Amino acid sequence: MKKMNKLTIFLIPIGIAVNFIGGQIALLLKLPLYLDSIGTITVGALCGGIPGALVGAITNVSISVTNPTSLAYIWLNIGFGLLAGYLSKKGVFKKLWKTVIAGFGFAIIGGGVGSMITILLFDGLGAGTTGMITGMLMTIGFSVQAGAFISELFADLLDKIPTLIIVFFILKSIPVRTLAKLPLGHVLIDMDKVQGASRKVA
Amino acid sequence: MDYEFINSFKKPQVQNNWFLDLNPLSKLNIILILAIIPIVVKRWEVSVVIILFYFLIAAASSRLKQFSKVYVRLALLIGSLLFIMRAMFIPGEDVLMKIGFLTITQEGVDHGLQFATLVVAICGALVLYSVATQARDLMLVLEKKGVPHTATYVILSSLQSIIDLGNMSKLIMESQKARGIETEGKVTNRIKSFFPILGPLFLGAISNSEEKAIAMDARAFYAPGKNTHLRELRPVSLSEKSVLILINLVFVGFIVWRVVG
Repeated sequence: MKKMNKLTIFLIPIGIAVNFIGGQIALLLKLPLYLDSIGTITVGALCGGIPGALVGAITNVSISVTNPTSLAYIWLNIGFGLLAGYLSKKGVFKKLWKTVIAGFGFAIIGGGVGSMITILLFDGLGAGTTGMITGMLMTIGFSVQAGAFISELFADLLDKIPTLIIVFFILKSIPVRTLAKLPLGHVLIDMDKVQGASRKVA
Repeated sequence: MDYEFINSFKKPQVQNNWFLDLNPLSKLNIILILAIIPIVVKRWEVSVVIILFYFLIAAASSRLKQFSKVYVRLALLIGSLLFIMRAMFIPGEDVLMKIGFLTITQEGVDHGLQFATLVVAICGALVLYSVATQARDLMLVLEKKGVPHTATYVILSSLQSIIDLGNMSKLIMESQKARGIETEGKVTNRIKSFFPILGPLFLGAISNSEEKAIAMDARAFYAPGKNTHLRELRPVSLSEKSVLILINLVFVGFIVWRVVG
């Protein structure tokens, strides 16, 4: 943690708080989405995979005080952070269509790893709506594994694509002078725009 | 001048309760043992006993109100969901009743009861620990054990940010409503209103954190020297240590007896 960018240390708490508040606003607006990993993915995209993973890990540990089953799913949020850092390095978050496609990557982590955890710890029947869908699929004739994977992949896809669209627009709205101070800011700065602006000034 | 308040910082700050004043790591040790017992034994009767024991500890440390406020709702919600799901969907031979396409079996009910009480018992350990320990005390102990102060700052600061940004989000929501953004009605309207609430909140917080980083730098946050603390923890007494070692020995013995026997 010693060598971490100074601004990163102060952005991690913000990311954690935004994860919380995003989920709460989604509940308040009665949206059928979780939207509780916006902070993880944004910090991952701005500061790199490790800070993103830290945001995810601390978020789930703090949520566990009011909902302890979330502690089991800590690996998901860590994975989201790492993936966001990697994709950001590749410049994925500069284009909206690339960002939307990246949603499938996040959903595969969410659905694949998530259903694996549900199967290992809760025998595939988690406490929630996805558990209900899994149960329904089981009565139709799917195995527990297939049922859990299908229901969680579907739920995550529905959640991660809107999440990533929100992240994309937030990243786009961050001023260049802030981006310049962040570890991965140089990837996200739109050079044409900056040069165009400076030419206008000149 | 309030000398009593000032002098209170000269000695360890205690709450005059045997459980609350235990060292945060000793508390963690005891509560972890309580959480592991039902995992090892795998009987619903044991889980229920452990759950009742949590309430006993909470009452003894005069935290019963806070503990039951969070825990009762959580236990009923998670417990009943896990139980109903297993009772409905787990196949078995001994059919109790049939409702439509669902068959409720004795195996499902047994398994559901065992699993639901187990999860509720583990959840109880976490809730009890969070009620009985202040986060800053735990962080202080961790810092004394060698965790860097930037790490403990991040954790304490996130807990504070959650409260601050939560208040901020309410404020922004009210102002956006006043400006005519619809937060009720159709799903599309509600989705559209998400961004004008979260956007200003997040962007404002990011620019705030920039200022905070400069302010903290000016206050020697990154200075390499050793930190001093305003708060002190009571030193761990010999009796606390010996009782803890005894509990751990009994626990290890119990595990060995269960595995071998």
